[in-house]
Amino acid sequence: MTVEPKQTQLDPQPAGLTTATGTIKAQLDLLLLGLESLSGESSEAVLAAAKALNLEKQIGDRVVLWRLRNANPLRRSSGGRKKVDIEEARALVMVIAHLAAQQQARIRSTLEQLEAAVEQELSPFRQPLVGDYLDEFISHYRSRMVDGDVRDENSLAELALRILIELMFYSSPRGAQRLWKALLNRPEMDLPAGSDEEGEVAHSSGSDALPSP
Amino acid sequence: MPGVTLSYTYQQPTSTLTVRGEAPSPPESAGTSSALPPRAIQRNFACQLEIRQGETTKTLQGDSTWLKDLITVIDRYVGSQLRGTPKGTFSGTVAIRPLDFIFHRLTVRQGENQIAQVDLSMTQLYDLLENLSQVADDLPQLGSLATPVTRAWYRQPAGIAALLVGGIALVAGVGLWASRTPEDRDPTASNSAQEQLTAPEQSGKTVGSPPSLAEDPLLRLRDTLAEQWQSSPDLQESLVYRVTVDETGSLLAAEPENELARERRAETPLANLPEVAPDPLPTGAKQFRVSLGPENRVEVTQIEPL
Repeated sequence: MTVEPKQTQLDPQPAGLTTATGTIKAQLDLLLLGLESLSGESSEAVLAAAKALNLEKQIGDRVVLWRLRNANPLRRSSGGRKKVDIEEARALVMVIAHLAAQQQARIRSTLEQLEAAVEQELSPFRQPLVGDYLDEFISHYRSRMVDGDVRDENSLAELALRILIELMFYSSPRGAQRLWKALLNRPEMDLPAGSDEEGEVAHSSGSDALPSP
Repeated sequence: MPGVTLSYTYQQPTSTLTVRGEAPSPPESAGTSSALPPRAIQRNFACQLEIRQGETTKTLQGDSTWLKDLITVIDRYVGSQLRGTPKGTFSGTVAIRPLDFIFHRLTVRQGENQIAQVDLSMTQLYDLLENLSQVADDLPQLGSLATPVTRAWYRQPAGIAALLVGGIALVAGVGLWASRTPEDRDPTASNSAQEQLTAPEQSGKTVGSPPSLAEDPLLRLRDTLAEQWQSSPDLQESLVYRVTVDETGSLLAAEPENELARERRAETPLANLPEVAPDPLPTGAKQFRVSLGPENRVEVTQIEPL
C-alpha cells in the first residue's frame, strides 16, 4: 500500500513542555517496537518514513534514531543522551502514524484474528498472525527492556496487544493527531528511577543497537 | 421556502453512516444541488448508522442531537482507550462501556421509549470512529441544527445514563485470556454481537420510569437508587442532592447540595438530570434529599414544602 506523504499539523504541546517526558519516550519506543514486530522491518523503514515526511532534520540517520529510541527509560542501555526534544517527539509521532498507515492491512488482519480468538475463547497465541506478532514483540521486549527478564509472558502479551490496538487507531489519516493527543494526556507510567538522567557512555543490545561507524 | 434534500454516505468496512437533511434551494446560477456540501444542510436533519456484524446488519437512527452525542461519546471513549485508561462514558442519548479489553457495549436511545444495545469489536469501533470523525469535519453546523421540541424540557425522557443498570465507569482489563491456554472470559461479554431493543419501563426498576401509583415515591426512589448506586472505592464522604420528582415518579432534577456532589455528579445515576428544577414546581411534584455514600449507601428523606 502506498501512502502519500501528508503534512499534519499537530496541536501545540502544553506551555513549558520542551522535552518529552519519560512516559512519552517509552510509549513512542514501544509503538515502534510494535510496528517492528508486525513487519520485521527495523530502522531502515523508520528512516525512509522520516525522509518521505521531510523529517530528516529530526531523524536523519541511524545514530540519531538509536539515541531517540534508547531514551526510553525502560531500555537496558545505560548512559547516552536521554533527552528527547519535543520536536523530535513530534517527528516520531508523524513517523509512527505514517508506518501504521502503511501497515494498516496487516494491523487490521491481526486485530481481526485477535477478536475472533477472544470470541471463541481461544488463545491468541494460536492464531497465526497474532501468535507471530506476540512472539516477536515478547522476544524483542525481553532482549531490550530492563524489566524484560522479570515480567511474565501474560503481562508482556497484554502490553503487546494494547500496542496493536493503539496502532490500529493510529493507522488512520487522523492517526498522528490522535497519537499526539494521547501522549500529552497519558498518565505517567511507573518507570525505573533515575532513568531520565543524562550520561556519557552508551551500550545496547538488539537489532537497533548503535551501528558501527 | 422550498428546499433541496441532500444525502451523504460515509463508508467503512463495518460501518455505514448516512446523513440527510434539507438545504435552501440554491440560486439557479449556482448549479445543481449535487454540488452542495454537507455543511449546506440547515433543517430536517436525520441520520442512519448501519453496523455490519458478520451476516447481519444493525441499524440505528437519530437526529442531530443524537449524532452529536454519538460523536462526543465515541471520541471521548476512544481517547480514554488510547491514554491507557479505558473507561465508560455517556452523553445525553448515547453511552458506551468496555465489556472486556476488545469488546464494547454501545447503548443508544431510539425514539422516546426504546434503547438499543450493540456490542462492538475494536475494529468496528475504529470504523465507527472514522465515519464519525469525517462527518464531524463535514458538518460543523451540527450543534446548531434545530431539533423539533415536542415536549416541555422537564418531560423529556431521562438521559441514557439513568436508563442503564449497572456501572458505566467500568474499567476493562485484558485479563488472563491472553495466556497460551484458553481461559474463561468475562461472563458479561457476549460471544457474538447482539442488539436488544427494550422499553425502559419493561427493563426493571430504572430511574425515570413511571412507578406503580400504589408505591411510596420515597421508597421507590430509594430502592431504585440503591440498585444503581455503585460508590467508588475512594469515596470518603456522602454526595448530597436535592432531587425533584414529578407526580408520576419521573425524575425532573438533581441539584448538588455539597461541593463533592457537584464534582462527582458524573459517577452517579443522577448524572444526566438537569440541576435546576422547574419553577414553579409542577403540580404533585415532590423533593427529596438524597445522600449517596461510601459502600453503596443510599439515604432518602423527603423535603417538606415551605
